[in-house]
Amino acid sequence: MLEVKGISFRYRKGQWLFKDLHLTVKPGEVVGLFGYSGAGKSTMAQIMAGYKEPLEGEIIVDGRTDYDSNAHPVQLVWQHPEKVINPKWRMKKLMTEATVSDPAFLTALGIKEEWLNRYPSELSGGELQRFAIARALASSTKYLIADEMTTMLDAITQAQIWHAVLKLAAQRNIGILAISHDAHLLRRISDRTIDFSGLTSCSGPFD
Amino acid sequence: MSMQRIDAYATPTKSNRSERQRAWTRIILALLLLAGIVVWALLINADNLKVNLEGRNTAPSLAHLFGTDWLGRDMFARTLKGLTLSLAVGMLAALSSTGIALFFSLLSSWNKWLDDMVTWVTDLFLSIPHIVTLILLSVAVGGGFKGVVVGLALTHWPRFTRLLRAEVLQVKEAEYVGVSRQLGRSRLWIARHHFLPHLFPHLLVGFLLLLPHAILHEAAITFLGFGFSTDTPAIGVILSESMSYLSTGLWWLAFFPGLALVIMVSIFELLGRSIRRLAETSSG
Ligand SMILES: Nc1ncnc2c1ncn2[C@@H]1O[C@H](COP(=O)(O)OP(=O)(O)O)[C@@H](O)[C@H]1O
Ligand SMILES: [Mg+2]
Repeated sequence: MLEVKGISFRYRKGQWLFKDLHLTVKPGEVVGLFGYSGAGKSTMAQIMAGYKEPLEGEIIVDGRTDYDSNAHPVQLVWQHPEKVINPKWRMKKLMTEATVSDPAFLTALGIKEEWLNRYPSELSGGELQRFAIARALASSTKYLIADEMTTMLDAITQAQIWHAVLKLAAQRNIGILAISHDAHLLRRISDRTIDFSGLTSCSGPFD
Repeated sequence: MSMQRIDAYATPTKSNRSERQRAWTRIILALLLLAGIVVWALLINADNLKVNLEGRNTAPSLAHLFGTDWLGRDMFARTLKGLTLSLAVGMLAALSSTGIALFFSLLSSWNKWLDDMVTWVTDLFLSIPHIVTLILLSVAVGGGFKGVVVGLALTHWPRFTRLLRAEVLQVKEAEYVGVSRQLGRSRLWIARHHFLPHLFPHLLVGFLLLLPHAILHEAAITFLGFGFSTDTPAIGVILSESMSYLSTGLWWLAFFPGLALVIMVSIFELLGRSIRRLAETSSG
């Protein structure tokens, strides 16, 4: 189980983005999270995936809190794939950065063989995002956080990608936290949806 | 918005392309000239370097393009030999300094303490005039050939280290490096696969721009008498010897070797800058 236990965070001396935030995602469960822009969802996602330390509280993944030298069991897919892919690498190198377990998954995501020899600048945002997703679903991944993962894509691509991801998640019993402002999308893919502002005592400018 | 950002770094523009073509032309030209110097020097007939007391102090002519010296040695042959020696020593020095700069910049990325140490040592070296550290080091290891090489190799890294360190620290903050870390990749792996490819063009350009520095410094300390011994066919030796003959009107003894040195150094500058242009305008 992925447990967020009472975390609080603010940037520098700014306003608290959230205080005492609690959230759990069970293995194999798909949780949809929505909230207005600037509420702090992406920040929370980065804390959950180990990119940032919370100022208070902790993240417990299947009973553990440290993974220093190993791959983190919680992987984050960012909204902008071009930032998380080294522009000097060919795509096949990206696929060696993580141990991608199932080649059929690449096909299901719509990744074409010939893309593997290209550089990131030669692919579209949607094409890059498929690679980022494939990498994030490395064999060591137990939970996936999809932060506006398909926001920039057209409806057909969005459906194709989510179909592949949900199928693999079900096979491997991976828990997913899907973050989006698109409530309609979340309702279609999630087992339950929650409102970010309901998670925390203080959230954004309205408090 | 993200789509626009992706398009922005896609295809090189037209003016970019012609600029790249010009850079390539300059690079090829520079390489041909350098290869010409080396090949010509290798083909030099050893007889030309022999003492020939009948043909002493002759002014430049078709037989002796750069004239002859007070022992009748052909100055053209001596200059070419001197240039290749300078080139070899410069290469060795630039290569070692590049290695040191790379090592220090990667060390900087390790942790705050190592970064502080690297910055401290770099600043220390930069606060002393270069020629002073060069002479001190070269005297400390016993002078001569070894002194010059060690001195040059160990003094050309500080400015370069500063540049590489800034580059490494910038890539270290890139989001794709953070992702690598979360995927369990080790620091060594990240240094090898993220930092090195990013540094590679800087290493190449830095190495090429260090060469003229090292070559000029080698000539300078030799000229000042701290470098090669007088029996070495080095440009610095030729220049310092010819100083005593300048007053007697043997202008060609210093003029041509000096000019040749300046030309070779300029070729390296041209090469380094053109490659930098290429790296700056590349898309990938
Ligand atoms: N690196 C940062 N430094 C300072 N402020 C930040 C940083 N990243 C985001 N913020 C601010 O924190 C707030 C929450 O941002 P974010 O977590 O991206 O919210 P959301 O994903 O819900 O839109 C915003 O007001 C944003 O401007
Ligand atoms: Mg966000």
